[in-house]
Amino acid sequence: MEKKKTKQFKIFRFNPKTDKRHYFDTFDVPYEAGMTVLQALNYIQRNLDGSLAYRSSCREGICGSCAMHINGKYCLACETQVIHVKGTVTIRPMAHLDIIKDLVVDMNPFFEKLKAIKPYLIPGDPDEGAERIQTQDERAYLNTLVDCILCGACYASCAVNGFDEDYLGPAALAKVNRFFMDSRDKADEQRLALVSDEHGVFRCHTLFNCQVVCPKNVNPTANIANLKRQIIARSLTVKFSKKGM
Amino acid sequence: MGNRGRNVGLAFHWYLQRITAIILMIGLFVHFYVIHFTIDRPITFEKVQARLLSPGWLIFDSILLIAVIYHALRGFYNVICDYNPRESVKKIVSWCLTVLGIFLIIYGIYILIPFTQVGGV
Repeated sequence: MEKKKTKQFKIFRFNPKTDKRHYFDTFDVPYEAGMTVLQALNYIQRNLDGSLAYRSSCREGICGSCAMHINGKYCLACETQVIHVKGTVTIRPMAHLDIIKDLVVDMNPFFEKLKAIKPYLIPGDPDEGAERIQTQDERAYLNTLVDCILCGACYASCAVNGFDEDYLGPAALAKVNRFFMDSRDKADEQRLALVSDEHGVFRCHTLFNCQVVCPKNVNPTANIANLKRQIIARSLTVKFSKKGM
Repeated sequence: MGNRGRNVGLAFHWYLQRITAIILMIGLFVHFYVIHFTIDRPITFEKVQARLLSPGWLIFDSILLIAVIYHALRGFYNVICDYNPRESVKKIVSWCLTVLGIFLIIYGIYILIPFTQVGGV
């Protein structure tokens, strides 16, 4: 029987309760075509080192739990094939978030910011129990915008989040645009006011990191650009079409 | 998370910096082309004066001067803000840069004046 090939995994390790500083552990993992980085992590945890901590759930790119830094890029471990990663697979946790243990980070700041932008529909008029009608075109426009799985890859890849802890971040700002562009939402001014301060859209340096790493092609950069355009247009009292994005 | 609210001034400055960037892109190209390719060497006071006696060129250079100073100082202020300083530091930096900007614009225009007077000053 043919012996399986092995791949070297270099994994970031840090336990704030016991370690003074982080270090990397190296593991050799047997792999074959089709194996994902997440499966490799499962292998390591079950066979080589049971103390390795990481998050995962759905294993199919839907839950967004397993976002991590793999060989220089933030991506979902469950969507990254081992065979496609060249050389040693180096895995680090997501940046700009406190480490709880190894690859597990504290996502609270990320979700606090998401909560701050009111990530729900604000219809404006009283609910009369009737459906809020939306045309197929209006809904089709939201197709990509609603795909965000809140993995946080954009947040970790954004350099601005590194030095401004109050910056809302690409995911929250893209979510503002998602509701702003929704024809049923009537809180335009409220939403734009939430993101037009110095920790909002104008702090974005348009680095495109968030666009590159987003596993769902949400393109936060374009969403942020649309919000900037809308704020400027309203400041100049020019009415732009919401579909000007 | 601090209080969030509309900041019209921020939007205005952001927009103005984009507008001055466009002015700089076009203006600097014209400036370099005129200085390096249309004036015979050596460049003398008289040759520059001959160009600046035209009101069009004077307006062009004045706009370029204001755009360069605004764009550079606002960019510098943004770099400072990226380091997330205290509100008081931001205010001091903002005032200092405003004073510096006004001084540089007045000084720049003051330098242009001799070129606009026939026979020099």
